Amino acid sequence: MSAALLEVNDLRTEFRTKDGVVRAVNSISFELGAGEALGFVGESGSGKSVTALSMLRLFGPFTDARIKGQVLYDGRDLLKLGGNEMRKIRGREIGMVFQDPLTSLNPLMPVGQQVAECIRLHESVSRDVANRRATELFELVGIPDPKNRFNDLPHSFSGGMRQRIMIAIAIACKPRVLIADEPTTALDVTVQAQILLLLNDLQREFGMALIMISHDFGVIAATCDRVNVMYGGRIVEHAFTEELFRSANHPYTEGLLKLVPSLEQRRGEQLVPISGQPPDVFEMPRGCSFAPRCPHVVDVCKEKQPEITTLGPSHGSACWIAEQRRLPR
Amino acid sequence: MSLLETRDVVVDFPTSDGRSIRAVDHVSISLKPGETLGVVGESGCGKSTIARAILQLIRPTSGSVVLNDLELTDLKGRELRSLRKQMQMVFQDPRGCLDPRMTVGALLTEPLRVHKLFASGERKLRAQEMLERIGLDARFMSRRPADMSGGQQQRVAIGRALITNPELVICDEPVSALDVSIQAQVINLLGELQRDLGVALVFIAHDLAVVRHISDRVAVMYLGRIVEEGPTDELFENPRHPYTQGLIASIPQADSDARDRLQTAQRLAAGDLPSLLDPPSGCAYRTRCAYAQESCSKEVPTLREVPNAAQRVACDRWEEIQAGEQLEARR
Amino acid sequence: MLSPVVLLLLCAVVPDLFQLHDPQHQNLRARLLPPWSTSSDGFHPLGTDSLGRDLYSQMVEGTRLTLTIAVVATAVGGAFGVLVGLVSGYFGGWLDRFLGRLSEAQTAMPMFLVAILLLSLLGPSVTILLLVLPTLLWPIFARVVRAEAMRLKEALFIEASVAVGCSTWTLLRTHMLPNIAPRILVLAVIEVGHVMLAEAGLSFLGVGVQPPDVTWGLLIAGGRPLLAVAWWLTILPGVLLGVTVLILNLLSRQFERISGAAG
Repeated sequence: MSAALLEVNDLRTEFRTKDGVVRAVNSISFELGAGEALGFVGESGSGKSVTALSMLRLFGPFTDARIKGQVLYDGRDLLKLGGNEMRKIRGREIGMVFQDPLTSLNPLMPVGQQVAECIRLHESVSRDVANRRATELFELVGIPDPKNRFNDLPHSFSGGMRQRIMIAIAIACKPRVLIADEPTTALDVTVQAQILLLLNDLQREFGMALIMISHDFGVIAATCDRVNVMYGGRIVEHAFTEELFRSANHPYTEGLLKLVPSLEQRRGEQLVPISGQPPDVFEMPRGCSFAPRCPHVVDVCKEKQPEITTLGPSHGSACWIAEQRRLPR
Repeated sequence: MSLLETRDVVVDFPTSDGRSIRAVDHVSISLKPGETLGVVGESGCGKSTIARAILQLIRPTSGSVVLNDLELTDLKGRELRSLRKQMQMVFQDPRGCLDPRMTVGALLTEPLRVHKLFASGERKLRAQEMLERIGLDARFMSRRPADMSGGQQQRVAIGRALITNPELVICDEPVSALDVSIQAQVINLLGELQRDLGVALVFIAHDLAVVRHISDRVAVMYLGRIVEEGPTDELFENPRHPYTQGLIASIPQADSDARDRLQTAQRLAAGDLPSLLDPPSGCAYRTRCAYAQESCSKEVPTLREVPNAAQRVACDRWEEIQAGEQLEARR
Repeated sequence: MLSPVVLLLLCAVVPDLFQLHDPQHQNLRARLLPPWSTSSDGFHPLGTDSLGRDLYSQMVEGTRLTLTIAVVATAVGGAFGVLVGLVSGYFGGWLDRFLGRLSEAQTAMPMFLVAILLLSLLGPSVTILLLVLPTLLWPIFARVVRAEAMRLKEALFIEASVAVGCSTWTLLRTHMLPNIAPRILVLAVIEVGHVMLAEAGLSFLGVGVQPPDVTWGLLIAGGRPLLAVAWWLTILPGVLLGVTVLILNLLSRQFERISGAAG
């Protein structure tokens, strides 16, 4: 594989709150090649969104966030860049699409202008050129009647359309990486299908790398080549998408896959739940963060945090009994 | 012998500028005792509204709702309130539906108090029993909602709904707000309790897989109307309405055909949901349907029986379409 | 913040514990003594008045009536205001509009002047005072409670309670009111302070409490003509009044913080 476009090493993000320190991201390392689609799957509190926000250093001034580690984009460590340089990265090299298009778009600014603004922030082009490109982008992302809708405000669009506008803004400067944080969670399912296909198409057309963050395995399956499964701020398993579904190793991944009711499953079959609750962010267990809920837990799990056991090319599982679980059952 | 029957229920909401939105458009469903009916659909389909209309939390603009041979739309005040011990609801937002100032114990005993069931001492016992049934430890009795997780709150909401031993419980998206790993726990609980208590459920959700798992029959709603309805397995294995097909194809599944299925979905359910303020004439689905024709804009299709199946479809051309597809497949 | 209030309450309930002298005891040879003086009767930490009565003991004596009037008036006015606000906010419609007009009409009137008028006509007495003062403050309770009721009635748990089968009355009593109560308490504490000031004002003008009853307002009034020669007679009760109102304000903020965190 060619040198990674994005290389994250030992990323750790802490929040200082009045109730204590929250280690939202607890040593994440991964690579992303050019044009590749990588998924992050996990439930709320797993740290997947915080990972994306940490990479782009998008925490507001009132959040006391400490980000440590390395985020190498094209060889440069983003965590060490100054404010101006970081701004050149955001939107231009790395674009981001957020979950809720209603609150992510300026409600008082015409949508066309919001796209044009992004273009003019990064490239020195005239207003006319930017507007024209914005209209073209609208067409590209599937907004009907783009010329006439240029000046409309966000509230006059449906949720799916607003999300398309957000995507247009995110890809306006042809970034090399697009991060999508739960981009379809707030949308109806038939609209979701369209947006996911759009993201796929755009990725192919622009040769963009994609980081897709979702709690829905199906969304990951439809869009990603590789997956990182996150739990309690750590990556507990990573693999090629197909391999993960075929032979998930980590007990959490396995549990998660089993309890999502599939459409093929006939009615009456019991869902096998994962017992217990997601971990308390203020008091992470000492050993493996999944130990309290794991049906296969052994003593070492409660004492020490497991390291990633390599199970194959690009397949790793952070589990003390990963090897044993691999044997044909 | 049906437990519940709604006939041509219509719910209109006036808008601020004098127009009105038809949230529920002539919906007729029936439910047998102990049965589970799943209701699915996307935004604006009216599923939450029909839930509230059945329970008379919103009064239907027209139509009838009959529970055990009693016409609910005629009831008011004390009579209606008294009937509520037979028909309960579980809401989508587990935190919001519990009074933040009440303890779990008070929340569980309240329905018994309100309906004057059992003596005061026995009410506490029943609450304790229910607490155990919903899988919560005895020490939760004195806890308040704010100190509990979403899944625990929803269990309390379910316990509250079932403590009067109702015959009908309507669940409005009961697991949508919960984490995936907790959803399974709550769904299993609902299934268990239903079997133990023999209560009939109307299970409303946008998540088709969950609905398939728990329902005996499923009704698919679009823009206020039922477009297809039938036994669960039948409906999923042989969907006849284009919208149902599109809906099923849209659900991303964790398997290798994921991308292909999405392509199918896009074809069958193109474009956006129309606004309720300006619904399409005739068949509401025609603006997104891959098979729409001129004739579809003329008349609203009625729910018709499918021969040799307990299914009903609201599409005048479904047989034509199905024949066409089969022809395509053979080519 | 709570301890000064407790102290005041104790003064009100058992003044004898705190008084150094009988507040009514006159000593004409110990008139107008400045604070920190000693007379044949003993030590006068805050001085004496024109009849030789110990100011400190009088202030302690006055605590009871001042607090009683303030608390009772707030309770009466508050109860009425809460009822109006609850009904207005929950039911809305013509009832809300009617009650709203009523409240607006009253707020438009210079209630203080009306109070003075009423008290002058009906004769100033503690009883009349207790009837007139509540009229000054029910609108603010009504306004606050109405806003809360309107907000809460949209809450899901209210709908859920209706679904359970609660009657409207039960709903208001066991669900709406307990959830509004913290706001009411916060408001009530501040209003007690306001009523104290109002009563002091009325007594100062001579239409409030009459001697031989003692309130802080009356003490302030009594000392006014002698301000040049015996400043302590007006200033010290005035300071006590001001500080008490301040403490009540701060206490109310504390309640707000506590209830905000819990509710």
